[in-house]
Amino acid sequence: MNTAVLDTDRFLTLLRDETGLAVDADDLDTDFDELPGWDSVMLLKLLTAVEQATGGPAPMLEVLEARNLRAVHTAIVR
Amino acid sequence: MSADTALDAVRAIRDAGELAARWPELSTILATADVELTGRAGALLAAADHDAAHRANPELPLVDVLLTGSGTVSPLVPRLAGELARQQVVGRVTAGDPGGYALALAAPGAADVTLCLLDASAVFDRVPHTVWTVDDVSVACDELLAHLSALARSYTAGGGVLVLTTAPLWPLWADQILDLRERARLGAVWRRFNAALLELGTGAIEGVHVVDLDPIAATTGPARDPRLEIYAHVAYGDALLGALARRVAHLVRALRGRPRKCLVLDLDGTLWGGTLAESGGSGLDMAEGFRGESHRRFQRVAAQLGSQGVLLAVCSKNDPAEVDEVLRDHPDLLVRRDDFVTVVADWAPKVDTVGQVAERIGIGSDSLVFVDDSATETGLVRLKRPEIAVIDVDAREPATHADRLLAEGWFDSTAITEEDRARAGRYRTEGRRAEFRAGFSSLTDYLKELDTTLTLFAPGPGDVHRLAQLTQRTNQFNLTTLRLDEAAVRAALADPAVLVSPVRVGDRFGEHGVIGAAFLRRTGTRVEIDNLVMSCRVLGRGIESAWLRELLRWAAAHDATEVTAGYRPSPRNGRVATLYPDHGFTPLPDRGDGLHRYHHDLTTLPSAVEHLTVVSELPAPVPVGAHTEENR
Repeated sequence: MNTAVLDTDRFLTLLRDETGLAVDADDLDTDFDELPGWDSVMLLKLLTAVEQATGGPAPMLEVLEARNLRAVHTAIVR
Repeated sequence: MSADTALDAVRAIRDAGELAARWPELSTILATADVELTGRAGALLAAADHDAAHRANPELPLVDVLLTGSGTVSPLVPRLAGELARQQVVGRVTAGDPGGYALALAAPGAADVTLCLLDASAVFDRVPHTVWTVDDVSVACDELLAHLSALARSYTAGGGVLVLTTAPLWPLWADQILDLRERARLGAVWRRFNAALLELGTGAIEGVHVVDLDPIAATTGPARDPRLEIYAHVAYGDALLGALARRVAHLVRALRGRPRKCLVLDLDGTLWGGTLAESGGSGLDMAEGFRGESHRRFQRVAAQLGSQGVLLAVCSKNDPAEVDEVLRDHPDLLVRRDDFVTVVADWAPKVDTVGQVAERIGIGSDSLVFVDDSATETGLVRLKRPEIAVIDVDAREPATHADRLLAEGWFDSTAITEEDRARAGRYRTEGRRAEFRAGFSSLTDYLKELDTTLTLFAPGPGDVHRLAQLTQRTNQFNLTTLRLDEAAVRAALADPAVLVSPVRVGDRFGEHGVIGAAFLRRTGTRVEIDNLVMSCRVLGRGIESAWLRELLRWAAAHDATEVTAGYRPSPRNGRVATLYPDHGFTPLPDRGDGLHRYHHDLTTLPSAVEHLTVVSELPAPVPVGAHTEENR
């Protein structure tokens, strides 16, 4: 996977696959505190998947400090 | 099934709201899934209604699993949920608070199975200072061990199961000790701690099992990620957690599921390298070289399983005679003909023949584990016989055969008894008789080759239990259904007018043991057969004919002039209603007491049964007249 083309759609698909959580574009800006079923461990699973796909390290600390999915996505593709 | 297809299939079931009803399908969908895929599928099961799944499939065990540990255990939840579904278990997996193991284990067990995932932080959190020595670690290990032992005892007192893990020591810790001798000592201290943990799972505390993480960490990687450790307190990496979840699911299966009993092996490409029909026995690889050493290891592991009570069998597409020759005579083979309970060699597809193994030895086909290098054969068996566990091996990489054989832990058991180990011998004998029978076109030929010997003998005190058991348990071949307890048998043995004649049967495959008994009473020149009982195991060989003939011959040889006998019908003994008339007895007048009486005048004995050898060790009776009715 090339992170350059990890658009939000693919990002959400990956997230759904990794976490089993039913999230869509409407949830991108929802604060994690408001996101049903959210758990920070899910983020770690997502990051591991991204790392496996890209073969390089993902910015884990930045991602963990994000407050919503859009911020996570931004950190990953930057 | 490819990863995407499998995941789509699980997702489709979930989205249709049919998880509960279709729970058994999950194990089929995930049969070949790796730990990664199984974990993803497990995440899709999060919202399942486990009670409904168990109600819809009561044959699948419902098991509540609580995860706790010295770190964050929630990443294990979907993995274990998936692995349990894969093992046909409805597993409701919940995670306790991060690091909350001491609190979780302080109350009595709330779940059926509790997994406590330990890591090195459990020890190092107890080290009191910022800087530490190996002695500090040693003290912390001792304290933690004492604490865990006490928790394990109280937690399992109510009957629950507690699974502890060991805690591997990473270089992060060892490398902080600069004195290399001290570093080695830290390793020794640490291993003693883990060894003591493992001891807790050797039966020391009922209900405690310990999973050793060292071998898992050594073969999966990366075992840890320092970022996960610090940021999320997740002590182990995904690969290790996946492998651990699979092992724990095997353990739950061993605790709750039906055990697998029999390993069914393909031959060409599986047990040995090469193709028997092409190269002949001498061209097979099972000793040296790349292939030979690979198959040798596989054979050795199969033998190792066999030594622990696993029944070994063969299902091969080959000529049966050629197979038999190799299994008996090949100098390099480590599991030989006598190690197999049965051998099915046939040219039909395995999906049609593998079940014969179970039929021949009298076990359910859901006890079978089938190994083959042909994806066609294994695929068909998986599809058509989903109750059979299937292991794929790759003939192009035979070095991996042994690992694949062990990977699913199909025969793991919480305890294997001596009786389990001995069971193989019994099934082997039964399997061989069945197999032998299949090879004959006529029953007569079969019986001739079976070479059955019947021995009539005079019983001693050691036979009392068996004789009583025969009269009590035998229903079909029991002429008068006269039940005797041990005291009554002893009384009969002590009575000089009574001859108790048990009969022992053996054939070329082994001993059946004492399978029948006759109770005779001598009155003057008359011998009366009070009862005749025989176990159904040996029916159909003409044993009863040879036996009756020998009893009549014995009576005649010892100056009797007639033998009388009776048949009392019961709901179960109809098959022997005509036994006496069939052997030259004539009916006597009915006395209206429910006993059909017969008489034999001993002028013409029934003809001998050709395929049976009869050995009589019966003693001569007490001289005629000594115990007639007149002088008793």
